[in-house]
Formats: sequence, structure tokens, C-alpha cells
Amino acid sequence: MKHLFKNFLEDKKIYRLNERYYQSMFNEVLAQEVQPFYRTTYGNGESFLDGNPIFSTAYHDRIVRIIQKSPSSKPAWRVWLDQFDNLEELVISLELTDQSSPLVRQFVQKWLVERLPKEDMQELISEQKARPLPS
Amino acid sequence: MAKPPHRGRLQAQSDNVEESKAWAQDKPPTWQEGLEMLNKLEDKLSKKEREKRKEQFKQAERFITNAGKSGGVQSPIKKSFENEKFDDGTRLDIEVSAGWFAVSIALVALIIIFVL
Repeated sequence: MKHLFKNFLEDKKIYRLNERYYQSMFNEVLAQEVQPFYRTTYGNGESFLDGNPIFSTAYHDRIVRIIQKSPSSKPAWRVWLDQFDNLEELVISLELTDQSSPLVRQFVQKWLVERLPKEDMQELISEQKARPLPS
Repeated sequence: MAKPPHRGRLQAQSDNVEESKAWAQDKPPTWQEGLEMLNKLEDKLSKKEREKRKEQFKQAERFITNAGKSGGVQSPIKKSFENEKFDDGTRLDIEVSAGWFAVSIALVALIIIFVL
């Protein structure tokens, strides 16, 4: 297992590359140029740069929000369904690794492109929870 | 009737808990009001649930204070502070669904002048 963009919280350049990585992934999955949904800056324009969230997008009436954590020996992977206003939201809280990255793509595909009903999505989340990512 | 322009909520969540403190008002909440709302949310929780989110309340407090010093935050904003030690989704969320939040009193005055 290999962490990607390991020092994203320490180095602003790596953080920006990390954001672009998700942007490209979402562009590919949705076959269009996506825009971030949530603001990640204070009123004075300064960025949070804390990975919470590192990327998000809205597509029709659904949102995906990605929270990225700093690397550890037991990579975090948590997914839940939530709401924001009248939009349904899928939240992925993770450490980005070569193992978790394809999973993000898979969950985004299921939620935004295939538009799986919430119940089926919940089932997928539970299935994945039962199969923890390798350390 | 039109919805108030500044709306959002602070929410404590898990599989078994859902408590929130919401706002919907004409003036954006200042960061001091944000911290008061956070305290009120904390008061709504049982001692056990407060304890489970001790660090998450500190993180939310830091975020609101930083926002206050940095011009507030404008919607859409959502932040989740999770307690990863628990497997039941224990967390604290900040949602700003419309308008501004955690601004300074000077900025509230500016926003009111701009709107008028």
C-alpha cells in the first residue's frame, strides 16, 4: 500500500496537485469539466488547506464531498450518506492510497453516474466497511 | 415569504445521535455568536456524547475563531470533524447553506450597508 500526495498538509504545492488529482478523476468519471461545490476559503480569500473537504462537486441533485486525512499506518476509509439543503450527499473520508483511489472512482461512478438509489448505496457502503483496506 | 438570507446549522451526529443548533436570520452570525451556538449544541448532548466529541468541539471552535479573524465564511460550506476512534459515525458538522457565518461585527455592518 502506498500513500499518494503524502505531504499534502505540509506543502501547499502538493496540496494543489492533490486537488487537481481529484478534479481530473471526477472529470473523467463524469466525462465533463466539473466545478468544486463547497467553498474552501475564508472571506479574505485565504484557503483552509486542511483537506476538510479537499474536493467536492455537485451533479444534478447529488453531491460528493471528499475529506482527506494525513497518512497513518492504518489507512482511514469511511463513507456515509448525508444531505445539504435539498441535495443528497455522499461523503468519503479517507487517506489517499493506491488502494483507496480506485474505490473513490467506483463510489463516484455509482453515486453520480449510475445514480444508485440511497438504499443500494448504503448496502455498498456496508459491504465495503466489512472489507477493510489492506494496511 | 422569502427565507432569511443567512442560514445554516451546527450538528452533532452518529448512528444514534442527531442534535443540532440552526440559524436563519437577516444578519450573518458573528464568530462570537457562532461560538455561543456551539456551546448551546454541546449543552444539548449527554455527558457521554459530549465526551466523545471533546476534541471535535475544539476543532470546530478553532475553525469558527479562525473564520472570525479571516473575514468569515460564505456558503456553501460544510465541514465534518470526526472522532475516528468510534465506528458509529461520531462527528460534528458545520453547515453554512446560505449567506455568511462567523464574521466580525465590522463585517456585519459592512454587509448591512451594502444590502441597504
